[in-house]
Amino acid sequence: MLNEERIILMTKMASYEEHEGKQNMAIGNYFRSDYISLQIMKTVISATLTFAIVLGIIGFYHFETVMKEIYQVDLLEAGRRLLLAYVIFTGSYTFICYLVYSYRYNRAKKSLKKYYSHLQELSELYEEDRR
Amino acid sequence: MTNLLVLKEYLKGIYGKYEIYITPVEKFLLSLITLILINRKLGYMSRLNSMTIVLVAALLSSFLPMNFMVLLAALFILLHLYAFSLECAIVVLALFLVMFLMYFRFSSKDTVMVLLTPICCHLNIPFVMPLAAGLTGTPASAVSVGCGVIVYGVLEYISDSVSTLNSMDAESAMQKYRYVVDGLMNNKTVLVMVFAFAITVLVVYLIRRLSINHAWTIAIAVGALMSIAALLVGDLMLETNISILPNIIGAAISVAIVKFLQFFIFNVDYSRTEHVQFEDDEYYYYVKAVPKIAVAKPSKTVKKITSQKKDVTPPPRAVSSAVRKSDKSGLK
Repeated sequence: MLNEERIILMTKMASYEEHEGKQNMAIGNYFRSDYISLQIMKTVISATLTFAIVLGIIGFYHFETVMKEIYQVDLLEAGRRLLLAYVIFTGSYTFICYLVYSYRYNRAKKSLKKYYSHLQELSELYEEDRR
Repeated sequence: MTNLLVLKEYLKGIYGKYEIYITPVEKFLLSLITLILINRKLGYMSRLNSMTIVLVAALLSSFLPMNFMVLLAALFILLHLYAFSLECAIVVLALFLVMFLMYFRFSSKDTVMVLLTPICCHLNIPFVMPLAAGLTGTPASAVSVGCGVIVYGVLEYISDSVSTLNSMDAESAMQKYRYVVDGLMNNKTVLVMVFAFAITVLVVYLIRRLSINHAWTIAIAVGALMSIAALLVGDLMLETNISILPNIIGAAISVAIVKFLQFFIFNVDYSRTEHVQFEDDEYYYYVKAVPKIAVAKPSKTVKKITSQKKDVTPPPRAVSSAVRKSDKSGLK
């Protein structure tokens, strides 16, 4: 027999699975630490690429000056400064991303909790029907 | 007002019913407008200017995700710039990559704002975007709108400097490159606009979340004033010579547009008709869930007026007055 209440619940759940649930379920498959460390790894790669692009643009802009002064500059000191700039840039960007991804993970888990409670409700409705 | 509310309900009903067709048409039109504007503004690669290619690209974006449209627009811009000057293409490619890597990688839903902001700027209604972003988005939308302004600023700068760039020798690639980077880094007008838009988004967002009556309307009005004030302050600080009067007019028009959008789009839950499929042990379910309409539409009633017969009973008014008279006489 078709149970109207069950169909409404299943429709709501299917709609959730198709829309916002899709992303939440992908996040929910991970443990918190796994998810955040994976995202941070991607973030560090992005930050490194961005730093390289900006450095390339600036370096090319001052190409002539760089070529002239390359033998007069203390390369070790310049390298140290560059490294410091990279660490500050990547560190601050990664910290912001850490906050964003932690918030996203918590939100996804909360949303999935509601979904699982609907699932429980659905299984109870099936049990009732069997009796 | 009631008529407008009824119209809104009608629109809601129509959207709920035909959402499956309306969304691709919307995407197609947005993509078409974007690509035509890019071709008009840049248009250095003659092959891309062909209407067939534009139509095919717009058709593709009508059924692909929204981000594809943004990718397509970026590709059109880069190809045009490549045809014009390799140096411009490299700088703009670097700019797009930085934007993608830093922001849009983890905020993919906001990418459409990068598309809409330059369009609004081009139509001289730039304040529509920060006001709309503040009403519908989060404080992070300020970054998206800012990126849109930067894209617009760079394209505007390049299209304005065509003659200067053309006058430079083909051999002086470095000079061209520096000229474009200078335009990107030292464009004070863009800086002031980004500052004004970011403040507007934040102010609108904060006010519309307050639990006061007419929060949205107050947010729009204060946001518009704030954006003009921020432009004035930025103009005074950086001496950009931004003409304020056209911006005031633009802000007034933007307020009207955003108010219209608020009434018909932002405040309406265009709950979509859902087509979902699932199964259990006994059945396969193919469900079409249609959203309920909250306010009843006025139903049309057809009144039939027939010609009067000769021996008709007296009209109701006469009857009631006759009854009243008899009642009064009875009382006496």
